[in-house]
Amino acid sequence: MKKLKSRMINLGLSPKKEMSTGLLISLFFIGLGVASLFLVETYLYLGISIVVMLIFNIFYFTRYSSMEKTQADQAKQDFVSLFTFFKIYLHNGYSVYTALKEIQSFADKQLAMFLSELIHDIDEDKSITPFIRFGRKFNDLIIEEMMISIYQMIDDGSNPSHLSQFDLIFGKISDLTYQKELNKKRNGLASMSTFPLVGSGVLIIMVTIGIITVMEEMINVL
Amino acid sequence: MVRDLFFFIITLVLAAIAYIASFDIYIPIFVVVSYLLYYFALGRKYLKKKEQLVRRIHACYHFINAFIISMSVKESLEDAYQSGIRFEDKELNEITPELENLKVSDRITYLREFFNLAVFKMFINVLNLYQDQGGNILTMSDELISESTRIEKSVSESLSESNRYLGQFLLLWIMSVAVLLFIRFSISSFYISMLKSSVFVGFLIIFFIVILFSIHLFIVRYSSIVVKEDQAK
Repeated sequence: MKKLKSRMINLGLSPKKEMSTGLLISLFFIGLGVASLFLVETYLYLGISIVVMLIFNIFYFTRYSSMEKTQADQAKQDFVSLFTFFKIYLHNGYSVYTALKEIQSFADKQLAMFLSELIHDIDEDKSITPFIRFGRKFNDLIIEEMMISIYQMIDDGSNPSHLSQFDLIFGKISDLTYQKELNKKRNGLASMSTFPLVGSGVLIIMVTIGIITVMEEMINVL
Repeated sequence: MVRDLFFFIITLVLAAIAYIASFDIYIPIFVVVSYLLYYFALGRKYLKKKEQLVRRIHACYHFINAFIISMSVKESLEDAYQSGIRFEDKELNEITPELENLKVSDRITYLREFFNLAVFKMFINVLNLYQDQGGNILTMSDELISESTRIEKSVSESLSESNRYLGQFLLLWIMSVAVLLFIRFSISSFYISMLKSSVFVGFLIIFFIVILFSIHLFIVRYSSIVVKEDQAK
């Protein structure tokens, strides 16, 4: 339970709100089932309501992992957008430290916080540790690799090959991210074709129920 | 306008189909009211926001490129600015005459508010750097031009993908609705008997709700464009 709560907080959700929403919707389904029990006097609809409620709860409380994945993807996407500007600053002669400071104004809330931590850590510790720590926040080895190449630029600033190395790694990350973004959009739109199938499914159920009802009436007449 | 008319026609066609399939006036009324209510309350906003963003991205891309090229040739801020705004965009063309009395740097700062894109903020930074330190604007803006071209390219790709899937989405729904009409006319008398069942009618309503829900999801996905906006203006 504690783990679930901390996951909600990490996602920027309020545990209280999440729990009460889940509870309210569950109660709604149970209420609907109980009401149908009194109105139609059959346990069938109550059973269906309980099943729907259980399915809802499973989906509702297991959606956090996909939200975490989305959040991680978003962080990587923000990282790429931001470090594009870092690259522009570097190519215009800024030092790594100044470029890092400058891109802070382009960053989103979370990334701005990460960056200010990085700059603060660089002030305190001149080793590679702050760069690796920053890179690890994105759970991506290639980003860590890129942060190491940035550190090398500070450590051995006179060597122009470090800038080429950075360009190469960043180009790879950037291409991968934008391709992923486009694929995500493509997959999202492609998945929309399932809805007409759902619609056809509804029609099949509708006709089946209609046929059963008419046959039931015919049997009753006979 | 064309977009609104298109949605209105789709709503009317679906309402007509709802009437043909139910022989009930309330279901088509439900279709018209819920679809139009959704469209004017939510769907239209998504589409309008997307169109606005796409227009701003195109105009911003054109402005940055034209400005830098002109600046490298003529080395005059005024001429470069005039080249930048020479782009057929209704909104941009409306605001630029009002800025004529301002200094070029103030006009560009105002355009930052208009474009609201991080890449334009970067453009201003590069321009400031060029004015402070001098150098070759083309070399200094090399990476900036690459980034704005990448944004423009990804928006164009995203738009063409969206339009391709729009056709597919519409075609599949037309086929699904055709199944409904086929059932309605091929077993006409039996269908009328089935209409007496309230569960049958309930499922017919669910069918139209599924269409509306899928339209909403499609609009959300269709109009999503990921581009970094200006964080602090």
